[in-house]
Amino acid sequence: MASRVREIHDALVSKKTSAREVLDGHLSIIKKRDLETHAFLDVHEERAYREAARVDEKIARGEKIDILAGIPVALKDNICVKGTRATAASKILEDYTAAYDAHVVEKLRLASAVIVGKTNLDEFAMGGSTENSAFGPTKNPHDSSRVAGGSSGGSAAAVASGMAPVALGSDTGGSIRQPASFCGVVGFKPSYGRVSRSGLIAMASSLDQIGTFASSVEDAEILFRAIEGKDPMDMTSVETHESVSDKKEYVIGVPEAFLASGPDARVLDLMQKSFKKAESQSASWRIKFEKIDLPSAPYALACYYIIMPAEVSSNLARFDGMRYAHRAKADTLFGAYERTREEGFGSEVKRRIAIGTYVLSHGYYDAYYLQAQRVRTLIVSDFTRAFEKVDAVVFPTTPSHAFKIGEKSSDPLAMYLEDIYTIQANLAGLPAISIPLGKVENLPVGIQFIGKRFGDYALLNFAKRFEAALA
Amino acid sequence: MITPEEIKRLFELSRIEASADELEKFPKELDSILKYVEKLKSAPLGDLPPTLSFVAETTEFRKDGAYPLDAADVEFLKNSFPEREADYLKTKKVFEG
Repeated sequence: MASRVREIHDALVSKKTSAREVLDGHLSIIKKRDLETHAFLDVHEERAYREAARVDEKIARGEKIDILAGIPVALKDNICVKGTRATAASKILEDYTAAYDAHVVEKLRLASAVIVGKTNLDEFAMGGSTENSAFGPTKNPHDSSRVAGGSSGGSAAAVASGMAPVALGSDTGGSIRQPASFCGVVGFKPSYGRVSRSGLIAMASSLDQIGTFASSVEDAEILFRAIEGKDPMDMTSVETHESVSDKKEYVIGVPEAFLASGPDARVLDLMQKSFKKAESQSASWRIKFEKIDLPSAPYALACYYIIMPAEVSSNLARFDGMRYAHRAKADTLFGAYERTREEGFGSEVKRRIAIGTYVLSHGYYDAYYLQAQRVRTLIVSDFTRAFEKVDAVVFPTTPSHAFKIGEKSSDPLAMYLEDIYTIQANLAGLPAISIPLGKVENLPVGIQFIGKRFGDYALLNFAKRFEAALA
Repeated sequence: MITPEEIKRLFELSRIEASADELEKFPKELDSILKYVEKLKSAPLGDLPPTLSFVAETTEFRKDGAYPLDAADVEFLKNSFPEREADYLKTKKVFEG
């Protein structure tokens, strides 16, 4: 079965296959493998067959179809699809049915994509392993004793095991790139503002961004192209007019000092080898690696773990059991709020709400929250300076390969350190992509490139070339 | 050191009933996280301003006004109420006493 979007599209247009058959193929993989992997929380089988049938009718009528028409797409379960469950993997939303389509879902409908189902995540996208899902963890398709990464672990595992050719996730501190690295697929987080967040269940609004999973950079780009753009329902979304020219030379910044103290030596070794390979390939373009300084990089994780919980504690105030979803029985209104939230939220969510409430408290606000926002400015200016000289910055995506289920779940700080290479891009609003780099102990790890703000297509273009150089 | 009493207060402010398990675990966990973020104090900030968000200066607000919904959507939302009486959302008394 074809697995690339363009191959499936060509097969549909030339009538070698039908959207129904494409869906059959993917659903049969889900049925075969997902009992073990647990990538999906809900499979929308009936709806998906209806959507596929409409595509087949279009083709039969001889209508021109969009590149994504009939392509199965999996959605992280914090993205709303009208009339279906949207749980964010939380007990508090276990019975919640979305009242409207997310903007990205409207866009997918316009393209006649087939929404195959909703994927597992860490509760409210808080975590790096999908172990915080109220409905059980997602297993890594390469080794079921290991995590798929998170928080978009379900989407990454679905693409890695062929249950869907492409998927959407959300990335607040690495939640697309880290599971992409662990599962051996491509994960792309666009610039902040490039994709509307309307209909994405909010975690930390100044950092959240919807992005794409695929088995190639080209497919990640095709899906991104379909969902990007300004939306009046998200005031932070912007209209961009990015024109991309083919470059003869790409200069990539390597923050050597920051990397020296960090990742698994085997990851660094794979990176070095990939640089050599990319530099020595013979094409009409060249890649050059240059040492850069990002002096604020070591502060990023601490900065993130103040700003993010502060925004979490505000955003999650809306889940009070009053207007929708779970409401606990209690004698008083306050009692109902407190019990609903006690029963509905898992430990990690409560932990972050508590930290957020603490750092926003009177007396601590300046010392923590304002200080972190100023460090954020420092991080932004470090990247601005670096981009005067380079086209992109390279980081590992993750410190190492996928860890064992349960290995880090009793130590919150150890889990947070998983984000050490991914949060910079969120704090600075930059696009970033993880591409499969190689294997450590037979498990995939990714390499990450961070691009200029709103230079999303330029970054994707470079990534396609780097991907080709590694192949 | 964060005390169990402070955790209790944070849970109250967050409108979450605190469980015995969390009152026991959270002081230590939050301490280790807050200790880690202390490193921000040594950042060379000079007089840098805070970055609060990336909202563009040209951002337009939607026009303020009433946007009517389909009757079906209104009914859908009302059916989502955890408790409903006729067309009303039912809750415990807001003002007690």
